[in-house]
Amino acid sequence: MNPSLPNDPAFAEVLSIINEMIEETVYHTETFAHALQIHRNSIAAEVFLQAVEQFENEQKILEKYLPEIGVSCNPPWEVPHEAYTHPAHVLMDAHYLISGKEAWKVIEEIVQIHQSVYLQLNKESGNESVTSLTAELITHCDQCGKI
Amino acid sequence: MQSHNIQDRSVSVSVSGAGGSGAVTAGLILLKSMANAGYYGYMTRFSGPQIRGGESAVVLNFSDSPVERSARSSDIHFALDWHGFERFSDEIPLNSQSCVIFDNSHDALPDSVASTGAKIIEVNLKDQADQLKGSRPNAFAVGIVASQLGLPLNAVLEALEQILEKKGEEIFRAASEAVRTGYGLLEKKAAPLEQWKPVSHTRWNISGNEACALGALRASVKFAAAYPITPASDIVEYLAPRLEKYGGNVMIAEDELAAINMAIGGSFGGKPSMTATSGPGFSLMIEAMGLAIASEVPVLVINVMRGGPSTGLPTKSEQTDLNQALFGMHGEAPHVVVAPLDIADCVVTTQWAAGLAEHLQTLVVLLSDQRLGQSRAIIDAVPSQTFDLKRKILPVQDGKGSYLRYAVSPDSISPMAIPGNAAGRYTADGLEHTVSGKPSSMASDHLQQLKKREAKVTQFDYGRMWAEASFQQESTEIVVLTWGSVYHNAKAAVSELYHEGSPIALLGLRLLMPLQTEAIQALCKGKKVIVVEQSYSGQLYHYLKGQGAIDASALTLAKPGPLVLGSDEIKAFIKEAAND
Amino acid sequence: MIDIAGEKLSPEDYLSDVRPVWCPGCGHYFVLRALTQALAWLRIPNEQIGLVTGIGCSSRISAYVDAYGFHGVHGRALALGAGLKAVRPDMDVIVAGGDGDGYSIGGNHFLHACRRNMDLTYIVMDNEVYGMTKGQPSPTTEPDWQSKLAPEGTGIRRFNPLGIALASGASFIARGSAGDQKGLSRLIVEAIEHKGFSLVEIKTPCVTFRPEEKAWYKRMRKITIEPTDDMILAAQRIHGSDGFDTGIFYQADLPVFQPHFTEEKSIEDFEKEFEV
Repeated sequence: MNPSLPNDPAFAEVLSIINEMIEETVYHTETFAHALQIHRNSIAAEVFLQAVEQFENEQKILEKYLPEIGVSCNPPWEVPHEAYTHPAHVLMDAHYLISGKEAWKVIEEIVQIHQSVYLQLNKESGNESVTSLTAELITHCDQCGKI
Repeated sequence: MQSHNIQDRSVSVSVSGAGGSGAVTAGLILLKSMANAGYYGYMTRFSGPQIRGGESAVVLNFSDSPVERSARSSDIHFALDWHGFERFSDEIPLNSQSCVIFDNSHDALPDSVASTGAKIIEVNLKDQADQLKGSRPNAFAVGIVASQLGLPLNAVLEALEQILEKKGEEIFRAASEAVRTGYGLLEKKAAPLEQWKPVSHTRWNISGNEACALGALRASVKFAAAYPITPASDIVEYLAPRLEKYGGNVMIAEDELAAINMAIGGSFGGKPSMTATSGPGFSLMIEAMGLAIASEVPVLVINVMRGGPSTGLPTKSEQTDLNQALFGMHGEAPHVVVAPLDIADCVVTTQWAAGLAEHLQTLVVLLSDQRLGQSRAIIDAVPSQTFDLKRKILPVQDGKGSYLRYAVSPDSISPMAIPGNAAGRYTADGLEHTVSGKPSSMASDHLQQLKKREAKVTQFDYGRMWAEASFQQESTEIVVLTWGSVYHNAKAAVSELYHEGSPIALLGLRLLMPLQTEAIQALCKGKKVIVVEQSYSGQLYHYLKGQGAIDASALTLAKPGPLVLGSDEIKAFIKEAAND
Repeated sequence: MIDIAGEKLSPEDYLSDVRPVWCPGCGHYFVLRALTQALAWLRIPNEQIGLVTGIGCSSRISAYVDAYGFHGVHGRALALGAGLKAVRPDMDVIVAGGDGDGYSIGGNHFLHACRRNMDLTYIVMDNEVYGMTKGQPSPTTEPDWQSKLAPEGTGIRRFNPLGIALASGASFIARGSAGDQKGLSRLIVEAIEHKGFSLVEIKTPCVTFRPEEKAWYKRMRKITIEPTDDMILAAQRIHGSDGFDTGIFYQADLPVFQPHFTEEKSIEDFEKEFEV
């Protein structure tokens, strides 16, 4: 898509931050959905599963860059960015009797965490690739919020 | 002296004394001396309850053919002193045929000994020891007993050297001088050994516990974990310095709960593993023994039984953990229980037991007992043998396959993956599980795995090892059924009756679970069956009856520990039963 | 940033196909994630990992990790793990369980595992309650917590795992929080890399029987303690902490117990010893 990408370390770094964040979100959201399922809260589980799909779509936006650029290998304990909060923190407030409506609220909060990271990255980076990617992700988040 | 017939040329000696008097050392030297002279012997030891300093005694039985039972009475008893001797009055039976020699520098002759009518010889060993610097009374005693047995002095001095080798030249010189002096102190008797035929082939001087440990080494057991307990500690004490030079190791556990779990962990890691304990420790291990069964991890547990319940009789023998070994686990837990019949058999049966654990991937309990474990004998070397019993192992492959750890196979034994094999990752589980090891509480999975665990143990062909049958013939009318350390006394009783013309046979059970019910029935059906065991309640008897191996008409001769169930007593019981 | 050559492994590479049955919101989910992240970071081949657990909610973790697992009996995981490590020093043996499993029924093994100082990693998921049996007070429960079993509270002071580990000879002592998955992954990585017995005590809320513990997620402080090998200082930190600090309280290079063996003897050598 952009032939200069492999030589763009700033962009690679951002990709890696975002990818790690979405991976965590997908993992924990899917796991939470499963936990709800086995505890017979299928309504809330369904909400989380739908959210997983959206997050996976979000990750797909990165996928077109990933094969070319490769994600740098950061230790799992490294906090990637000051604007970053672990997305699963939101799930710590959820519980197994959560209603569908409450579930959507939790998802919205995760989306907001994602979006605020994208906004921050978008604002502070002068890198064209970063700006364009984060803009795309911000739009995606906007759409998610409207589901 | 008793020399009943040509087949039974034996002489018995006992030595007793206060703790530190060296009675046990004297016994060890005499046993070795007899071996050096070309004979066989069997030594049991008894001690008071004290940790150190308590009175102790050894009872030795010698013969020119293998002998593995105590004599009916002592031909020669040497009392280094009379300290606490009354404790041993049951273990050291004296009668008018006995010769009692005692050191009169301590207490006077007890009335109870005088009243036996035994011939009494007094010596003053204190005077002797005072005259010979560095010498101790027990060495004089060894010399005296040797001279009364007609044992060649050289055989004794050789034994002395072997035993005192590490104690230094000084001590050896003083001791050998004392033995020489003792040897010349009384008039030498040639009688007892005169007609004996010494052998020159290699024999072993070995205890039952050492024999178990050797069997484990022969079976390539590479890991043992244990917590100290009498009378089982000798097994791991023997293994500790040897296993680490033989590709394995011994771990000191913080308790028996840890010991058995460590052994299970070692076995899971791919090394044949074991632990050894006695009653109280065995009780603690029960839960994890169930784990070995459920998770199908091979493990060998040796229980050297002592009297119970609770702390019971820590230094004395009984065969009363049978019920627990068979049925102690909660849930339905098929496993294997075996028991050796004598010291040599400890080698063979332990090797077999460890092999069975590996092959069947389950718990094998070996029941020995204090008498068997702590007795020492001169026996013929136990020839090495091979049992084709190996753990079925998943071949090593790269990449994760679709390994099913608990898959049901024709022989119900599924190949075990050893950690490190990429293709065999699984989680061993004490929870009921599916074929893959995934926890499951489904009725169908439970039933499937119950059947699998039972089938692998019950369908296996145990071959000839399951029992020792002797004196069997067409006309057999009486069968004596027994196990463990009672076997040799029962054998002596049956042998005498057989040679006296009784239609009697003997069956010593080595495999107690799974019980070879049909094989026992084949030998016992329609015959008068007598079950002989060292318990109060007749555990083996009730077990055999409950399993339908023997008829309701079977008789029980059950006697609790710690006293030996002697061959005379067994013989008398059989005779009476035969006449009924 | 530490750079490790080669293909990046994903935490998912360390998940088995068995899914957790923990309650939604349970802190153990974050421990599982931190553990698999640590393993992925260390790139330990799955088949070289031995994950040994006892009984309890947290002990279920051995089924969820793609490794050689052993889900044994209650309280004995450390013993089983010690046996495995004794014969397989080549393996990374991780023992895991809960506060009841490790500090109560397995308390003796805990003491002796610390003093034996084998190269094991011990992960304790401490939620101060027996969850699997539905809410009884554990050794780490505060004395006034009211439950069916102890309506007025137990009135018994709490077990101090870090202090006891230090006194017993453990050479790596850390506390982590399920609410700080990132910090936790670091503690687990360091614990696995440490040569000797490593305790990682993790505060992980039981959302079902101790819902008030959810406050831990925010209350526990992200790694505030950095390692010292000074026992006195470590003791001060352990006993001076309000329990909400996380980090490595003590790390020292102490003698590690690992049985050694040779193959210098044959069975004939042993048999010869018996010969007369």
